[in-house]
Amino acid sequence: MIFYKKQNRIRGGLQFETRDFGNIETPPLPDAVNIDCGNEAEITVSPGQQVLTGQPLTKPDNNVITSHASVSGVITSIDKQVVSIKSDRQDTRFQFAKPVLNSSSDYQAYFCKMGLIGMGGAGFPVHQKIKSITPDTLLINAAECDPAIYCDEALIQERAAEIVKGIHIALHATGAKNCIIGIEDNKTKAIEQLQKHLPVNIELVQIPSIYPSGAEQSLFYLCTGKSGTLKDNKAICFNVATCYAMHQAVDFCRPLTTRILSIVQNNSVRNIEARIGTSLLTLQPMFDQPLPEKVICGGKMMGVTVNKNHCINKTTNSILTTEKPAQQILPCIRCGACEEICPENLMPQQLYWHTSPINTDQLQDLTLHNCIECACCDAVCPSHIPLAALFNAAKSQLEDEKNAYQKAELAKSRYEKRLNRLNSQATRQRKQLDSKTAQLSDGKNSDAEKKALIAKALNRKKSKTPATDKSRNNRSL
Amino acid sequence: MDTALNIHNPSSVARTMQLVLFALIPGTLVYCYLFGWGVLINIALAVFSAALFEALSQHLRKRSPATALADYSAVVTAVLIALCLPPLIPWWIPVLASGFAMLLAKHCFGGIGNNLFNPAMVGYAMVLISFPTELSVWLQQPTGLSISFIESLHAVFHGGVPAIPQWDALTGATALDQHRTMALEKASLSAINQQTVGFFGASYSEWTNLAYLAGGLWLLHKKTINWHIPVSVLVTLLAALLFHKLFSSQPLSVPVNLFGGATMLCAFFISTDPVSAAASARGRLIYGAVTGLLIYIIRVYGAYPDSVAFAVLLANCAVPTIDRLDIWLNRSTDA
Repeated sequence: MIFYKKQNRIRGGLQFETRDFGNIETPPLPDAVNIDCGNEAEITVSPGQQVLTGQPLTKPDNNVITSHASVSGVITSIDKQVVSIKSDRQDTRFQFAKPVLNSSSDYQAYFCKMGLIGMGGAGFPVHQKIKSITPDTLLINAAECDPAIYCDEALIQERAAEIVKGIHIALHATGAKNCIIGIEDNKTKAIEQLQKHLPVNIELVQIPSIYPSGAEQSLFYLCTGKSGTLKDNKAICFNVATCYAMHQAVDFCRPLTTRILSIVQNNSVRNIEARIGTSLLTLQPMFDQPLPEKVICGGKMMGVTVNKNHCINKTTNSILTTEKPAQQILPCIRCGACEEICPENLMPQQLYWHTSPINTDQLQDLTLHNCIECACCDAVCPSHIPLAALFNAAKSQLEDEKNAYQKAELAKSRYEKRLNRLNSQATRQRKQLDSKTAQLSDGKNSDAEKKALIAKALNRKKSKTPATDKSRNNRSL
Repeated sequence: MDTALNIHNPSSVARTMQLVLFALIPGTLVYCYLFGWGVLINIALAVFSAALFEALSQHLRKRSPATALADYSAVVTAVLIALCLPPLIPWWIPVLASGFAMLLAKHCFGGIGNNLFNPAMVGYAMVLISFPTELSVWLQQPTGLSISFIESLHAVFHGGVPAIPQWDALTGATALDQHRTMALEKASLSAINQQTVGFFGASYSEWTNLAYLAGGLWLLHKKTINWHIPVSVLVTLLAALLFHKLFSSQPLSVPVNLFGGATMLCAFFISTDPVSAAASARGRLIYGAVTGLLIYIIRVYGAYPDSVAFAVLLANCAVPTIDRLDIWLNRSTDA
């Protein structure tokens, strides 16, 4: 079923451009791969060791993402958690046992072992996502997160049947009762393919092709019309590529060793299925021109600049080689173009005014924390001010200030509590001493008895070692 | 963080200012057609001196003069000043107004983007207060191009309109001024209308106003300016005028007030200066309403026949408060 909820449209935003591209291409097997295992993972292989395609490189652990060899060959070096493998060009697969998957926790353990992460961009581990919520609704994100990424569209066009299988696995794994797929209305071929394979109980919703509709929060609003966070609405969101990866993991016992990414150049768009850890230089044949020194990873709106020897990881969804236009930054003229386009209904120009110098109170009043850093405001600013980057910096500074404040408050309350404790202790001791004095000075005891008591007390004191006394005093301070 | 934003952003401050200048062309041409070369001479003098003072201020502030000149904001300010001035005014008045606007109103506050007040209106208000005699000499009848360019130049550089009978017949107060004076003398509207000239008694400024309106609508169409301020200014002004018509015995002509003086220039070109206007859509509506109301109050009850400059400057003063109010309203509607 197709619903086009026209009334559901995000505020502001930028129109997408539609571009044509061919089938998903597979680049030649790389000679070597460099796989970044992440800082916390425990690497279980050593240099010189022979590994097969798909063999785990790290110990599966709920808190980290498991990495796998993406080619078969010999490990040449392990440097700062980066495992380099020299390919033997055989591409022999490591065999996993067929899993038994009955409950959600089985799925969590298995997805953790297979190194599945959210493929949309953020890269949140799938097992942790499933663990965090028992959802009613499964939202499938078939919308691109950036106007210059086409990898999900290409995947749906060619492998819709596999994605639908993946969606069924996701439904089983999360226990969600209903499922909605959100897709932009300009992806006609992809919609056609999905419709062909979708069972009736899954709802396909077309959303307007306006950036940043693909962010999961706005996608949920566009598809259901409900505001509030996904968590509040008992919903969980997976990208189509993640569903595809689930299908590969469950039905073919294949861990995540490849990913589809878009190569966006001035004159062409290509989608390739590359091995994780492939260096961009190895992918040179896929580019029209020699690679420039710097390319952009992650889309034209929110991407970051990387060097040309960067290696593809599980979240690399696109590579842009188009030149960044050099535009001079001028003072803000308060034209309000940014405010009109802001999907979160913020006032970017006012925020900008209060970011230099940082005015904490004003920034909080202007709800800086609601900024999703989509950079729509950058795209329309006539003064070419990098607003999103400034807001990002301001946010982290506010966070630091907040932490410092909380730390100071904690120290203050600790100090006050200790002062109270010492006071009450002193009062108690004073009371004991007073009662003792009263007891001894009521005239009932003779001088000899008093002397005996004093001697007893002195003995007691002597029997205690001075060292322990000292340490106890220190501790109480 | 090195963010990418790999988008060609076609909009720029210079582009915006250029569009504003294009939109001013019809008004300027009509003004010129009606009142001769003096208009163009004013514009040339103002633009030249504004550019000079802008470059000087940038130099004094140890910034590149070329960057500031390249955004055309000084040109827009200068043209707006020149269009407010009567034609055939002594040459030093546009020069002084532009200099004051650039040095004091713009660069003393920190240059483009930081000025609290509309520079053009600060410059104009300064000369209006300082040289009332020179600024009240308007050409009463449209001269067209009958006064030659050389004669105009001669008049401008030799103390303005010469005080000889042949010229005296041509000059006088503006329609708004006449209306105000006669209304204060309790004359009836029809009596006033007999005294004034033009299509509906606005001394032909109705034609320039219509041309400004056309240019302003084109700017709206190009999305260079938002609709909020012009609509708010005009609607508030119209509402105030109609209210006056209903409840006051003092004669007042609605069309003359709407299409006379600098009403349209203010609604579409002066009060829409984004730097000195309120920031948000709601704020701009409030700001426009304040401007419109002040135009009416000062015109009808104030000492100056046209009040656009003062209305805009006073509304500029209110902008920081309006912006705060808007944040407060936003927060209370969210909660």
